[in-house]
Amino acid sequence: MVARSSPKLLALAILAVVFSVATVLTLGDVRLASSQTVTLVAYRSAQPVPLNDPSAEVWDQAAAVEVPLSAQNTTPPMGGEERTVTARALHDGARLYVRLEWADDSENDSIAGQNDFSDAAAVQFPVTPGTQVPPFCMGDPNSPVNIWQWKAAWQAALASDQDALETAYPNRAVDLYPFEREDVFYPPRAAGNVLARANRKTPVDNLLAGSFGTLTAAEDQVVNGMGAWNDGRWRVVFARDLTIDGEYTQFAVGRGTHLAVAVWDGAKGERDGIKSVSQFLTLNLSSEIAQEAGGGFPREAVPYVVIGGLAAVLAAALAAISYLRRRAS
Amino acid sequence: MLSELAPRRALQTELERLRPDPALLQQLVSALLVAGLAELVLLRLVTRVGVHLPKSAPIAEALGVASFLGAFALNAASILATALLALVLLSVAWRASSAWLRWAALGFGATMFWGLAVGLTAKSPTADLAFGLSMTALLVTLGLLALGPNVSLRGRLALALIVGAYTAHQYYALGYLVYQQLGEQASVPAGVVALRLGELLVVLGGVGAFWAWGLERWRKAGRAGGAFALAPVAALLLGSFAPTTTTSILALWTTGLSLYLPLPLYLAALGLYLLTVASCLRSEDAFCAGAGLLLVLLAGYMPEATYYHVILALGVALLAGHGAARSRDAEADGGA
Repeated sequence: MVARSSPKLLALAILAVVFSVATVLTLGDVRLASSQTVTLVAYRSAQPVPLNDPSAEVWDQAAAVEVPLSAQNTTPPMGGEERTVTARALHDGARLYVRLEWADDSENDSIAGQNDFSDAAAVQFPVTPGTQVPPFCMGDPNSPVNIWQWKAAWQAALASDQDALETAYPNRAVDLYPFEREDVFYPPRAAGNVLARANRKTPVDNLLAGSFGTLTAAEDQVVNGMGAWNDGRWRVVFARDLTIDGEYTQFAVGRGTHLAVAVWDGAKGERDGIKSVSQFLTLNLSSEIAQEAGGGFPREAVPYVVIGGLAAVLAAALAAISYLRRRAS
Repeated sequence: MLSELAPRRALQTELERLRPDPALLQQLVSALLVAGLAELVLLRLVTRVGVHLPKSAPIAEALGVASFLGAFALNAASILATALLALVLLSVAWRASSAWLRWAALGFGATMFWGLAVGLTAKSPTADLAFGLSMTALLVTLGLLALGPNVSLRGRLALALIVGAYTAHQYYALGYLVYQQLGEQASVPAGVVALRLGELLVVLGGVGAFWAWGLERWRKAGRAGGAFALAPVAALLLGSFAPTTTTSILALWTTGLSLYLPLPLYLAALGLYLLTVASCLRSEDAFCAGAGLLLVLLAGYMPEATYYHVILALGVALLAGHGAARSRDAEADGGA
């Protein structure tokens, strides 16, 4: 047997060696563990990815990952609920495209009334790439995050010539509203509230945060996107150049980063921190070309392979139980 | 006949030589528990919660020190856990009553260590997949080995819940890796359902562990053990009432639980589980069970890195009575 004579001395010797090696590794900024989180792979698309059609067939070539979301209960106002978002990603060598898909019974794209709230979705990336993942609740001061937020109401406002208020209240009358164009008479806008911006060119805001309560609109609104609601499901595409100037997340083919998602259901009064959020998963930009669905492996066979594998494990367990019982008796 | 038996005896003799001394194993496992707890507190908790504190110079310096010490604890625990798991697997091979289970444990163990080594040195989905699949199979094998007469029915049930929760999580996590390797773009069928089911099994496992190892010895926990069990529960409870609630931060960043079930269920399960850990560690006859349960807790429900998988496997091995703390025929912890 291993050193039955002086276990205490041997234990001390072993621990001395272990601690020495651990010290060297720590000083070298090495952590003796590799990540085992779920990875969303963004393959290179050989076809163009249309921004105006979130249901385009090209998305059938993208790998899907079901991301579990839970209620945001870290900081007030808390809320949201359990949801599942299907995330897909593609790139064309120049731009990254991320598509989120989730079930929502109703399309809420107006915020004209006091109790009207918009459906929305957001993706979040660490600004600084590295092994240390920032807190998923909007990063921290040392590890800021870059957030892309899409809102159905912003998209509807951009698509419509009419003012949302005019649509919601067609018979309204205003006697006089001086200085209508001056921001100083719109306190939220004048104060820099990111939600009150009037000069939106895209339905997706490019935001930065370093912990909750620090959300700030970035100087460069460089993220585009579009959402479409069909048959009780939202499909929303986000798109941005892989690299841009500024302190934002930079992407590169062959390199990985992390991604988290959030979803708001306007019909349930969800806005601000009342949302469903996920934790970070890994996002890898692959140089491989996206294949047709199935990639040669018959898609319809996959559930049978999974169920067959589980059945085999169960059969092995039952055989083992039976064998051990026979031996025991 | 005799010539056929000779190689088998020689192998058993070799494995017997490699079996770790129980006292040595206990000392090394104790050191691992200290390092693992330090990693949990310093790396997963203090530095993450600390980022929300005002960054005055002394606090920033203290957080830097905590981060360094946490990383050191992670590295030390990772080395110790890997070495101990290798030793315990050899012990499992020696003790296994069935030849095919013995070879299964050795085979899955070898594949797992290969995946671990490759995964640490290079980013390889194949190595990650080999590590994950062999680790899952290894845990199922260790669970099956606990079906022998050494572990009580309650112990087997608790182990089944722990291994079941891990398998449910792995189904979700590895499903996507398998699909990636197959070139399949669809979502894994019922992946999120499996993940939620696994979290339910975690809660049930907390109660199951108390039923198996804590019910008969919980009084041995004493005041210190009671405080050890109550402090985290009280912290979570108070956190849920705080203006800026910290409950979910504590739960998610330490154990990977999403808290989708009612909070009292988690609090009750955690309290009972910690009471079981304390009572086992303070009982002379249940060190392996206490250490095993604590390692399982340290690993958490969503093991995000290889180290957490390794300590989970070691914890399950100890719970299954493979701690080599006693002779081959002795009653294992949680035994009848």
